[in-house]
Amino acid sequence: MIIPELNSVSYQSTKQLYKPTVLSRLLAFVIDYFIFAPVISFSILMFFRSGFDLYKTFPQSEESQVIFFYLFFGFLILSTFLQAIFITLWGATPGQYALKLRIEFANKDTPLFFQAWFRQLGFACSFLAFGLPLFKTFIDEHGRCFYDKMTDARVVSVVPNEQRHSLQQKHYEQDRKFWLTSMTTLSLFFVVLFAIVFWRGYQNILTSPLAYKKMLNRSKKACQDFADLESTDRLRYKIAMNLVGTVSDECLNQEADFVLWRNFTQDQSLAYFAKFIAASDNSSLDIEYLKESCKTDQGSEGCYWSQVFINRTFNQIDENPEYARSVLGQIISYEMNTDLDQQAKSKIIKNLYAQNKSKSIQKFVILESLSRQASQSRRPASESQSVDETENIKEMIKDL
Amino acid sequence: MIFPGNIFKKIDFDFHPVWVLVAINVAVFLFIQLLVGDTLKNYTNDVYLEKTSKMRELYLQTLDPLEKTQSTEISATSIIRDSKFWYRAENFPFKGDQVKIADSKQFLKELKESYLKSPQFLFGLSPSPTSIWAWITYQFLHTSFFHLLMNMLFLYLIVGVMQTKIDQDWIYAIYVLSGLGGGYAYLWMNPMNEIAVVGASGAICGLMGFMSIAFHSQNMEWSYFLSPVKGYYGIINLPVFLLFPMYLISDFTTVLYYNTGVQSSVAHSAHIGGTLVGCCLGALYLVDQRAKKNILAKWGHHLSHEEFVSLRDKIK
Repeated sequence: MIIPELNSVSYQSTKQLYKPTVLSRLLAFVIDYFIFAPVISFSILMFFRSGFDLYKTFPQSEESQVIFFYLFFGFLILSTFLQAIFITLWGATPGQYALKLRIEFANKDTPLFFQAWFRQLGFACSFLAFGLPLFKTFIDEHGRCFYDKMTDARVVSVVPNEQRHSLQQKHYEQDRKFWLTSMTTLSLFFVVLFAIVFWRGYQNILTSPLAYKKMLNRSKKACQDFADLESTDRLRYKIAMNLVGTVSDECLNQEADFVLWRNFTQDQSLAYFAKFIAASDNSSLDIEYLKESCKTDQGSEGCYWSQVFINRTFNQIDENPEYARSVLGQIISYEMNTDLDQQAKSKIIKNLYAQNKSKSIQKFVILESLSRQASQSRRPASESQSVDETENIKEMIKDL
Repeated sequence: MIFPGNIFKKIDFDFHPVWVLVAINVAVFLFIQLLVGDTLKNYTNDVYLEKTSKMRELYLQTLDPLEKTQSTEISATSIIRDSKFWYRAENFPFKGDQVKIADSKQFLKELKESYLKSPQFLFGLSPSPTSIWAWITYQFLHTSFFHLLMNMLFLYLIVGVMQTKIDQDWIYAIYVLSGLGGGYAYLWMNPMNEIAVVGASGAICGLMGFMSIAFHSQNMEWSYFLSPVKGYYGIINLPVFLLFPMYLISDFTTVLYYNTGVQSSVAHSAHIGGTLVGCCLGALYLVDQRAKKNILAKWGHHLSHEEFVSLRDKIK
């Protein structure tokens, strides 16, 4: 469809005003948007440059949220202000001016600029209510929305619609009916779509493991274990607890990255060993990590554990008492050493409990104690009466 | 949506500047894709993301304290573009995960080798161009089909309007000179950006800048699309100068926000250079037209009939 060159349309210049079509008003709005949005974005960036720099540097900070709030209102005020200037000078916004539309204000006492600004603010606020107030345009006899009524204004056309749309006049006679039907259908469609998306999203939050994982990562709860320990011990504990499935691979990976990229301590070989443990199945780098752990210091703890894993010498861990006595040594020995009898394993569990006050270790000890008991008779600890260890377990639970 | 020009008009395949420019761009694209080949196409997003996961850590280590304070925005993309980092990374004693560091360095080395063999480097414009012709060849080179499609759409629309208003010599001159201006702006704003700029967008912005100055007071056809329903898409006549706020000012905004003038893969700095050159040429065109009018008014009666007609026909 072609909207003719309105400046060259030869219509009788009378004082008669016409009700504009919805298409003209919509097109005027689109033109205004395309003109004002880039100009105002540029202006706001010029005026609030330092605010944007702060937002770029610290996007998650509280200050950035305040800045975002300010910018939103800055955009609102500036855009309506500029439109009000155009309405005062030309009687219309640029888009309306190009389409030969004008805004008529009945109240002649109040300065035109303030009426225009007030009207444009009302128009902008319509979008805060998802543009629903704008639907009044289709229903109202004069096409007036609430902001028009507030300021006693109305949008008029200085060109008769016959001339404006001479090519498809018949179509536009049904303009109101067409828009009402289209918009109702579209609105219903979007409402249903929104409801489906909302419900699916809600269910996803409730049930999805991925969502839960994301939540944990975001709040950093996943890696708060052993936060009060020194870096070296923390790494040892996390490797140990990762081997028994209590600490996640992501958490261990994060800890190893911290040591390698931030801490620069002597624990690097152990961190490489941790990276090997935490590497995913399809990672091509895991063997490289194992090799790297012995590259700088053959006598380091990380290298020692790497060699134990490569050579599978778990039954010889006790030959190096320094490492064997550590939490990591005891856990590896407990989990991997097939030569240990039940008594030796019980001793390790008792040692672990005695030496460590960390909740994760205590929970592990309790679970292991229970499971070892459960293999004999499937009963909860609190109900056990005959086994000597039951009292210990009760005590452990009480301590925890 | 609103586009400059008439998107709905029947396509006319006569020998016009619009088809010459489009044909050159498409021919260069086909030549590169079919005969030269793109050495960088193996670097998919997955590979790129995995390999650059610790690149920021490495990059930060290579910066001196002053550079650190100046670097507000560090993304893997901006790091890869930084030639300074490329050279430093080769021998820098990085601290950290040595396995990952070796892997990242190997990736950088392979990427650099592939890049140096790619059409983007061979025919594009970078701080170390392969030849002086890069200033011209980059204006006709596109790296992807979508890149070519979008640029050709706007080229077709804008030149389609321009060729009814000015001589084709002007159109070719504006295209090339704006492209040169775009290239200069890109190099000036990104002296350390090793990745070459390619594409016709700087030249197209120049054409739009020229239009918005030279024909600012005239109206032109714009294509609008509000809805696929009959009657809600079509043509509307609006002032030519609206090209500037609608299409060109956003580049200035982006450059204000991203100091390098490069956001993701779009070189906004080149757009600005092209726009400014186009606007200057538009002003020159106005001066030229006014001068011709003055000559005709003052000295027209001294000219022969042929000279008079020739000069008169050059005034639009």
